[in-house]
Amino acid sequence: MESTAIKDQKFTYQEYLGWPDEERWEIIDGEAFNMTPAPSRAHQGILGALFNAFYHYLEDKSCEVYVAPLDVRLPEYDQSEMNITTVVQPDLTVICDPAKLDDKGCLGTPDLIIEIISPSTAAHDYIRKLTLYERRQVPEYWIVHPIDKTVMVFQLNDHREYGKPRIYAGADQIPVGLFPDLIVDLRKVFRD
Amino acid sequence: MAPFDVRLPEGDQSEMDITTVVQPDLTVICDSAKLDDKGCLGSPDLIIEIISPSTAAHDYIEKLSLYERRQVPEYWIVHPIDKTVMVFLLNDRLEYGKPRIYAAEHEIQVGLFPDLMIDLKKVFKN
Repeated sequence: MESTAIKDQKFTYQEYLGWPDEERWEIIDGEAFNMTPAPSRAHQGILGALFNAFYHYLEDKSCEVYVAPLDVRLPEYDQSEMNITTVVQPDLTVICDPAKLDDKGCLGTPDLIIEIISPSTAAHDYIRKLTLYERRQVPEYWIVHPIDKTVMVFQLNDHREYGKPRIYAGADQIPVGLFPDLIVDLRKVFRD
Repeated sequence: MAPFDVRLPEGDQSEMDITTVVQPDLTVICDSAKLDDKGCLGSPDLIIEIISPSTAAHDYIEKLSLYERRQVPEYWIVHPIDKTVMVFLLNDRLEYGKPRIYAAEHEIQVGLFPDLMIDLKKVFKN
């Protein structure tokens, strides 16, 4: 189960950096979320297939794709780096601005984020992260459901808000909003 | 509760020519003229579907699109394993907008009945 570390206590990136390397945590507005246990095999299979699609597409392009764990720091207004209170580890992250990349990961809003949910992270991904990514203006956010074999795609609309998601299943082909000439074939993603 | 036939005629389809009949898990109908011995004829006021992995695509894609087209004002998709509820409401443009999404610890205010709150702790008991 996803658990909150210590209720009512707020953490910064500086404190986060001191936590054990073998544990996976995220902090959102200072609240800590334990992302262990390790994801399921189906989760990892899907992640591999998605990474493969994006990686090959991006080989000769300037955007980069990473899989978790990659620390994505989302500072609020004028927070200095060590005072950042939101650090997430999306399952898959695409970043097109190299200035956002440093040795520790990504500092600033990525261009596309994919989360593959498990029952213990469903609420986290559908509620907290959806709200967070909309607030921090992530242009495109995919939520992949490995058991239902569905993908929900949220994109910022003209009002800079996420509208009604596009929802895909089964053997659908998903056009990537960020890259109009990239189509992700769900038959290769949901293989079992 | 299902099975309960909800017939959703298109344009001027006569009853026997209707091509869309669904059996939502839970249906709320406020217009008694829509009720007959066979079930409901016309768009209900609120529909709830509880998904299973085998119906997920059907409920999220075909039924979402159908209920929006037939102007069902409120459509809930309940996920028993994830313990989440996604609520779609028709907006000013008579389209479903971004869903409101709830988890087991939340209470849902029913759009159709503003003084009705559903406590999800009682819905997701295990």
